[in-house]
Amino acid sequence: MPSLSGIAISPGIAIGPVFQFGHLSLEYSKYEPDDPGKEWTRFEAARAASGRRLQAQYEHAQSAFGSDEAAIFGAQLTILDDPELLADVREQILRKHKNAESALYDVSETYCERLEAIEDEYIRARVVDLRDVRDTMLAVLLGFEGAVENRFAAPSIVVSRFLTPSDCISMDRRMILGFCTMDGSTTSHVAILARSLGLPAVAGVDEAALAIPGGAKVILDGYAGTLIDEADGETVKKYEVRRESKSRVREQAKSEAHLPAMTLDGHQVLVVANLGSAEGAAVQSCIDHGAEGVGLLRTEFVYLECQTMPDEDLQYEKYRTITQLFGQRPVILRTIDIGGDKNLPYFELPHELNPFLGVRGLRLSLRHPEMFKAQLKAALRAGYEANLQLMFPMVTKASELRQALRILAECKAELAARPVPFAQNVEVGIMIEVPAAALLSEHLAEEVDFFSIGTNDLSQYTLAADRTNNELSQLVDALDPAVLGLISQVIDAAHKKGKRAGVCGELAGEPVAIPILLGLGLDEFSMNPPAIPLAKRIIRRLRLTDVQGLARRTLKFESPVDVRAFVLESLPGLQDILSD
Amino acid sequence: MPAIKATVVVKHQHGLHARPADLFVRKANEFQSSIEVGNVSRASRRVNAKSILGILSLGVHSGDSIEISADGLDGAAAVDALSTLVNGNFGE
Repeated sequence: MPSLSGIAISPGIAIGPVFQFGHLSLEYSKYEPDDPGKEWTRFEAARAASGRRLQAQYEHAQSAFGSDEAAIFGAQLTILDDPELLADVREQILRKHKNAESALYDVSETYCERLEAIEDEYIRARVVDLRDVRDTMLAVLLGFEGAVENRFAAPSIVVSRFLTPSDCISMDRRMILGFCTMDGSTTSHVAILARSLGLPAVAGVDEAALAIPGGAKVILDGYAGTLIDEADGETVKKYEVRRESKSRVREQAKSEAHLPAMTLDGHQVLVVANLGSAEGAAVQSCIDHGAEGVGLLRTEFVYLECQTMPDEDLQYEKYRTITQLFGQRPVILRTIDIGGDKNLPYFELPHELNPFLGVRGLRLSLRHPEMFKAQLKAALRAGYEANLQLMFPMVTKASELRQALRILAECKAELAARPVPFAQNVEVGIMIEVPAAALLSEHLAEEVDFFSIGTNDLSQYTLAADRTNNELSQLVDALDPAVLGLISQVIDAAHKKGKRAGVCGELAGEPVAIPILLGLGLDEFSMNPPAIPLAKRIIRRLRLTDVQGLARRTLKFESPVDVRAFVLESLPGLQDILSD
Repeated sequence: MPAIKATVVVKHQHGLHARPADLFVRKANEFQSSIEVGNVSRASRRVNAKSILGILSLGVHSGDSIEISADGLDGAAAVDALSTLVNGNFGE
């Protein structure tokens, strides 16, 4: 029972026949054309036909998979028109008297080699694009009408050395159970596609996978990153049980998603969604997954969709769409949080040596009062006869908060003078992401209505480890007792002053973290919509009195590993829910 | 008409990859002049500034110096615009 291991790039389990994905054999012959000028014309005609083919793929991707997928074909169209590439091919045809196929192949290979010498994730993706464009053109030159016919007899696990963007969109998604490739990484194209389709995928698998005959039954484990061939009956059974229980748990959780998040002993918390769009589908997804409101509305999308700084009216329209769809359910609007790793093309930010410790979040807004006021006024107006709440990101000191509150008061006065309807008594909270704010949260609690703990940033600041640095990914763990200690302190400070405390980082939706946060007294859990049903299901199966003691004990451990082990050991039921 | 030249330092964290590369090439395409770029810090060959593949293949990392030269009627404006783009850290 050979098991090939690779990198798990998309979770899930698939059991089914192998489909060895074929690529066109683009073998061509080398010859000296009789008339180089005619050969160049032939190349240009093929290039025009390829452009039409890419354009069609762009449109198909746009409608079938969305704009992220489509953008890849936009990038490929740019490569197709690249002047340097064309000049080189022209030179090879007209002066070196190569035929179009070999000129194209040689030139693009030279570029691929040059680009591959550069260590950069983005450039590697462009190499894939360049080879994909080259193959599209070669296929046209060789007279192939379309892509190779990959005829699926049944839903299968697609095995291939590599999969290009065009390969991915050419497949009928109903025929795919999962992907297994030799090339690729967690940020690759296949990874993104597989995750968006909710299918398991494993990359970096040994070439031996290519030798598995088509139709052979295999197991693809997108959790462990393995491909198991010739599995015995017992193993298949084991995986079938796992696959079924996973999907059963998800189905059940989804069917109960609209029930309140109340523990067995009657303690109710709020489970809300993180949202970063005003599009109907995104809002509907929150509601379908049982969100009781929005715990974090990331407003950066409004700015990113614009070519210039959006004015108050434009922002109002977007926010109003959202508040109207949520009715009386709470929507917590976080004011703009750029700086750090987030930038705007039309907004000049100073170059900082250490942007995560620089002018970001509220620090930036306070330095640009006009921009800040436009957003606050738009939000206040959108909150009229709705349940909109305001939240400031990256607060460090009480003085910053007071300055923001003064600006908010000015905005209200200006709106009242116009006059336009707006939310007079909007609730105001802050994000707790900076350790200093967590340590002095008792002072801050006096000035606000609620706290929302941003565990991703709180972890990176507490552990002094850049969360975007892959080398340090093990270190940045929100379940570190150092971070849990700060979270506990923030919740206690809020409650002491009669205020609410929530978490809107990834920790809120992490099954192992839920009992701890509940036990520490958290009032509000905000997460990505797909995580909500399972989170609610977990909360509904716990008893507050049980998890209170458990949560306090996790603060005494030395490492996040110990915390996880302890929680899983103490709550065997959680293990069943996760069924891993 | 002699070619106009300028040397600038790329400070953007992504060097001349990703978005900065796209912006650079798009800007270069707004001009009629033929524009070339070389990576002074790595003693590279010179490439066509209007070619995304050319620009990417220079492997310009953060901190590298590049030489921009333009030949044509709007050469001075082109060198000026591209230098401003780089010096202004691509609007970030």
